[in-house]
Amino acid sequence: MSQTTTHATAHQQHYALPKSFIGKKGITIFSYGLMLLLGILCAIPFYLMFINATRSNNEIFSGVSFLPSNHLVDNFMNLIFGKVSAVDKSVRGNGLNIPQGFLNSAVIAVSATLLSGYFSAMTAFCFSLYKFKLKKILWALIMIVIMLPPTVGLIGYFKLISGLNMLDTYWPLILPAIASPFAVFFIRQFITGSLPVSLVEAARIDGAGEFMIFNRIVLPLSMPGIATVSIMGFLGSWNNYLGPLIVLDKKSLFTLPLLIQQLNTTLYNRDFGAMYMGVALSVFPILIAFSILSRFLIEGISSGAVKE
Amino acid sequence: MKRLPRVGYLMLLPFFLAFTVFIIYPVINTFTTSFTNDSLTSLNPAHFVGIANYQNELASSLFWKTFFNTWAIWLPNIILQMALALFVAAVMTNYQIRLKGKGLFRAVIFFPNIVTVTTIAILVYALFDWQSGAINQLLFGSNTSKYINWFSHGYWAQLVISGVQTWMWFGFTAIMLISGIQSMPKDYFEAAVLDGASDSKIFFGIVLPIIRPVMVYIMITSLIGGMNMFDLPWVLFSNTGGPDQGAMTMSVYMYSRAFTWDQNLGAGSAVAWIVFAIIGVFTLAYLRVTYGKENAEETMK
Repeated sequence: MSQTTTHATAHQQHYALPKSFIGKKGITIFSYGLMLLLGILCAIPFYLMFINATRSNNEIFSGVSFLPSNHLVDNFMNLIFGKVSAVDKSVRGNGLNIPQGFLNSAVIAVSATLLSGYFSAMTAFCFSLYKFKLKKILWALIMIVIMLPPTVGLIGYFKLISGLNMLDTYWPLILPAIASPFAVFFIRQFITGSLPVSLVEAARIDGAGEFMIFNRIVLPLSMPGIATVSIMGFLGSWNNYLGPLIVLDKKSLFTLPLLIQQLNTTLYNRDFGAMYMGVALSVFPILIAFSILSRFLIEGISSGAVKE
Repeated sequence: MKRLPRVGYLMLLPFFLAFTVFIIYPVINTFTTSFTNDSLTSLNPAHFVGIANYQNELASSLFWKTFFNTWAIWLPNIILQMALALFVAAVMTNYQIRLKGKGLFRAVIFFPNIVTVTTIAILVYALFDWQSGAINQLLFGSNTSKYINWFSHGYWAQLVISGVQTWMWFGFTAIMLISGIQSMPKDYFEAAVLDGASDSKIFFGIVLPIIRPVMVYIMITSLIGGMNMFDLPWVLFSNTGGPDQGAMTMSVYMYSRAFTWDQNLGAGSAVAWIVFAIIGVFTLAYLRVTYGKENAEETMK
């Protein structure tokens, strides 16, 4: 291999790949083409979703279009307030209260994320800076639970919640966030890796109690780690389907995924304009948030991967 | 390291209280329920039935059908997903290529992963609708006689679900692999170049072994997720399992047994634990194949 290659690698962050793999022109073009195709395949369903949310049912049936139409408001009204009655034009029926779903999902996801962030950091703090009885066994237990499949305790969870009379409340969707094994693992890695122990010792010499040390020093200094894992936790809670499906029965309490699922019932079955509007409404805020936070989120996930 | 002071135990209490109540207890309770005839409809208290639920399920052809359905969806997905992700990671980390918009590309291929599965499912339902869906319209234009009814056969439904899984996850996997490759110490690569190693030797001899732990992690988490696949087939087909019951995965079957059909919590719990056992067996087998016998146990720790 030539000297220039060696030189190049020393100054690049990215390495790897054999020249023969993509070095030749044809293969390079093939690689670019495939990458472009993958990018388009990932984006186009969402693009068509937004376009179709502005088109009438007839237009959607008549063929694909890449340009918006002018039925945005109709679709929105049909979705939220229900379709206009065939008998009485002033009556609408059976809409889906998507804004309410947003609110419900937000209440649950925000509370769960805050609880998870605080208590996971507190638990991680104890595990990374102290020794105590059964520490190794408890840590092993936390690690095992991270790898537990989500359905293995599902029926027991349902029986527990119904036994506690907590069905149709948000408690069973919020309180379990206090025990977020993955968040504890992630924040412990962060504290061990980047918290200066000398700061904690200095505070201790100054007479600060452990709880105060955690709240005043460790918590603020661990914020980058907590924030990263909190975004993942928020997404997990926001996207959770099985939990609310089992716990919630009253329609006014439905989270966004439960409401969106209703689009698949006979009510909207053949009104694709309203269906596309429903999914578009649920994707839009995520898209906005993602375009601001994507770098942060992707880097968080990457840092998790390297530590494996 | 300092001993934990008394207040420290109080600080650990909330986590372990919630951990015991909301995670450990439900898992144990599901296990004990699997040996009873507990049911949502029965007014009589549940009683112990031994391993009858397990025997019934393992002898049930429907259970085995859901087992093969689940694999028919997961296996093509993980193969294609890993291949695409390796390809993307290889191109994105190649120093000879200066791609513009790498960050945007990363964000675009990752985006499907963060959208709620229910939303994706409804989108799939609409886009794959055989009369109005954009997929048929893009593939066959106005030639409606050629339109494929995607939800008319079990294998079509499995293919669609499998493809959607790949679409949702290859970006995530690629990002994991990229960070795995970038964690490679520079000197490994430079030493190999100085020793005159060929390009393909560098890829197969250095890059692949370096990212093997990441690949193993992806395989195992994907196996766990795949064997538990519920949201997508459930939102699309509910407890019917779709055409030919081809989209009835083990988890859909478990949920249907426990909460919809005969509301048999005992049978559902048994299915949940059989699925758990299946995941355990395949994870161990996979680790043995990848790491050899003696290292497999070590990796599990």
